[in-house]
Amino acid sequence: VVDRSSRRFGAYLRRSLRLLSRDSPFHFAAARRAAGGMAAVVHIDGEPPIAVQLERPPFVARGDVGAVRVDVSLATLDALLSAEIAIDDAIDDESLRLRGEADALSDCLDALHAWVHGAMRCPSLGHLHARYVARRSTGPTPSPPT
Amino acid sequence: MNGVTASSRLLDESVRRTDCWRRPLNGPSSPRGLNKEWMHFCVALPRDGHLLVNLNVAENGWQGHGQRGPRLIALAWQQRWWGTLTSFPDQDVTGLAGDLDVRLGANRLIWKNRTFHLSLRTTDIAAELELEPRMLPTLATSTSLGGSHGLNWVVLPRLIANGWVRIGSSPRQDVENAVAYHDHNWGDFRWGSDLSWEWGYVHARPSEAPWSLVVMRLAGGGGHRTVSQALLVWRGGTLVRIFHNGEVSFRGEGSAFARRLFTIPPVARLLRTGTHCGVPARFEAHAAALGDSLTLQFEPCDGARIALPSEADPLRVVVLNETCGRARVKGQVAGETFSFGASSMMEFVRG
Repeated sequence: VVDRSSRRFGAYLRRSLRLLSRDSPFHFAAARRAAGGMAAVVHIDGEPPIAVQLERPPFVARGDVGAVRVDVSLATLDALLSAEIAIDDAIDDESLRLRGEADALSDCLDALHAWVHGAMRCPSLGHLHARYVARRSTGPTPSPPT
Repeated sequence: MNGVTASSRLLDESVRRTDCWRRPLNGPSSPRGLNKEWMHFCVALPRDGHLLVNLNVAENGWQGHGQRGPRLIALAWQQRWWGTLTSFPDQDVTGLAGDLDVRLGANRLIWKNRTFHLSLRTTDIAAELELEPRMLPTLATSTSLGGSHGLNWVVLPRLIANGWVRIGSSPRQDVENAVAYHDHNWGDFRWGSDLSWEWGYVHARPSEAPWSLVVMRLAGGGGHRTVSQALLVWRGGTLVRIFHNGEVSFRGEGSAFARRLFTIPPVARLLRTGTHCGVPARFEAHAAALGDSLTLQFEPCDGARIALPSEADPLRVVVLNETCGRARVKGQVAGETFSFGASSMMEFVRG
């Protein structure tokens, strides 16, 4: 499976954004407002990239066009989502590389923060997040990004 | 009260009446939708470790009236932190107003034979502990937070814990005659409103002296306006002194932990919170009145953060900094002069 990592993370992210829009519309709107229509393209372990945008479902799909480019390994991504490392530390040691205009990078982090605040307030997102982290070692079969 | 054995019926009645849950743990929110309630336990573990267990229920004052949200916080420190914050759906929760017993999924707290029986089954921590109070609980204390908000509390500063605990993948550890602490808080307020606090306890080792201390300061969100403060002193099972408000002064120096702290829930660590957590490197309390005096110095050695959603701002969190460290106590109270050092925990809540 050549794109297992990006498919697994993409499926998680897509579900989490759907839950956020359903269970905490305020935080989804805040994240969408911060993103301002831009997309972020995430490259994981050199696999085909996924593009994340908040304007319309499915929010996550294969694609390589966006104002921000993120390069990260699945190991780093899982460590971030498991709270084993902090996002600032990952940026500092370049295990998480962000490229784009400064304003776009700042907007992207603001959108991430709105998502986190929503995740903290929605039990459904908390459970999804816990399931993703718990399964990271076993690698469940994800549904493919559309 | 000296000698719990002789007054065991009184202890049982007192705990049942003062320490019971004020509202059911699950079900619909209260009319104001701002109710919070929690039972907090800390247990000394082998190898200078600490176990912190907080069974709590919160109503979300930001999203409006709805369901009560029961949660369990379980944290353990033994040279590093483990822990989780777990939410439970209504069907996995039992706990009635007026009762002490509660079930949160596979986790239970039962009051039986004048002892708390605590069963934990979280991802990181499992335990079976019996916690036997060594004195009567305090009467319920009520503090107004303004705007018809308030916080009430009861404290049992010294219990003796026996049983076992398992942390992470390590083997089961016996807990034998360990000292423990318990408090119970409830009230109507919003997390993230104009509120912060420092709250902690110190147990002298039984071999050294029979002293137990509880120190608390409730303040405005910035920490500059004190709402209520007190330092309570027990000798054995007897509450011998309460230093109130103007009889106590607090001082914090420096900033502890110039590093990122263990944080629950894990998703909160994706917030770029920096390394300053509002915990002083050295915390001091001085109390003096009517010939009695006491100085408490606490230096935290490690801390963990519990991030709770602010109900005042949907894009902020409230941070409960749980710290463990060394305390030094010197005093002259109730005709006795004493000095001792002890392992301790303090909580620094920052909005």
